Amino acid sequence: MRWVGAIILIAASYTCGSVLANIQSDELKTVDSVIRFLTYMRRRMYSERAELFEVFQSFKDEHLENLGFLSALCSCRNDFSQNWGMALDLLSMDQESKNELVILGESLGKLNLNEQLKRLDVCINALESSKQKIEKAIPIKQKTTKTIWLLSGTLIAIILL
Amino acid sequence: MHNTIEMLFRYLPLRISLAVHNLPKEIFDKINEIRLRLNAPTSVTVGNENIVFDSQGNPCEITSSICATKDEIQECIAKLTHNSLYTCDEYITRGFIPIPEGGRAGVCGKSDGKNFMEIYSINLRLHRFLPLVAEDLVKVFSDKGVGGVLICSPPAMGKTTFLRSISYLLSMGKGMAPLRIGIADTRWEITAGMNLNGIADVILGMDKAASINILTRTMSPQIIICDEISGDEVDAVLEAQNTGVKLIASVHCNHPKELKNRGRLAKLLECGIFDYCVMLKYENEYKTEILPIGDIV
Repeated sequence: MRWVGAIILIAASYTCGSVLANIQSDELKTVDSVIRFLTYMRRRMYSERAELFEVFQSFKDEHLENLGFLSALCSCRNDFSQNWGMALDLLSMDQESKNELVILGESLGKLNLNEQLKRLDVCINALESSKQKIEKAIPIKQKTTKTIWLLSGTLIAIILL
Repeated sequence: MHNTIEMLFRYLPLRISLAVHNLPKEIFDKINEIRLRLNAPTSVTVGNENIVFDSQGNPCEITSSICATKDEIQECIAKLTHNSLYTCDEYITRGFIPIPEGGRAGVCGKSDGKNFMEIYSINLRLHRFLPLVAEDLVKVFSDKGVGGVLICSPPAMGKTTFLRSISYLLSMGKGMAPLRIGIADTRWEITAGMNLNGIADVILGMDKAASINILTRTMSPQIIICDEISGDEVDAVLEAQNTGVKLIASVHCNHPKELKNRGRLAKLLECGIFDYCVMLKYENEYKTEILPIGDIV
């Protein structure tokens, strides 16, 4: 019975570690979705001169929808800078990427097409490099998290035995 | 009329729209333009008079008038462009932003030689639709036959209002049989905010010479209507005349005689493009005078 209990404890610790490791990959998912969003925005601006509100409304992404990012952007038609700030608060990202998005938000819709596209490109590039960093770091972080939880569970099981 | 001004309020910063709203009724009812200037007096135009006012809407001296701040200018631009300035690049380069409901806001400011990097002044023009303003011209057409018409007046005397009216009356067949109208509406002003349900074909946003060429070749109108004609359109107009199309156009001038000294425009008078001249005046009220062009040139 003791052994069964110990195995359950170890399995539970491992599961917890896996869940936490997956949460860490959410950041990658968020950055990836935001990059897709900005790329979509760039394409609609460049090819159709689509208005921001229309761009925000027509973009579909399950992850950003679940976070409430897209509905925050569309919440008020008159004050996009306020919407942008509210939407950014809902994203879990590193501060560097968020800062890039804040800078983009300050000029969004206030520049001519060339300048607007340049700003978008700068932001997309910054997020791409941030994504690469996260992609490199995540497997190590995930492994470490899982290992720590597994070892902790095992240690507790040994002590209890 | 109030509806038109109130339509413009949605593009103004609150502080300025309140001040305009509080202007004395006799001014408010006759406003043609609302002009915002960065850190300089905001004014309204009534006829050919410029009126400055304070934040309470009281007419005042220039030194104590309400001035638009940078944030207020930006707010107005953001509202005019639906927070999407990049959608209006091609218009801003030409000095205006089309108003979504029709009409335009003139803009100017610091330029890099091509684009405006910063906007310092915004001129929101009211576009009135007074359908019967050009009724007298329709009577002349009905009695003496359709001819080319030159509409002359200094700026802000109602040339575009007159063109809007004549477009409506002729295309709807009010006062005479309907005519096929081609409208070259370069700055989105002639057809602004009105539903031309008559037999009119409109080219929006293209330069006038190209519009006149296209309308003549592809839409075979009986009359082409365009605003603020210049020397650049002379060739297109002469070509249109060869196909029998009549032209109704406006021009900035105090008297058609002035056109004789305006190079290429004088050619239009020499070639007999225009049969009538409509002179618009403002003497406490708008006045229209229609004369055969031979009598005055």
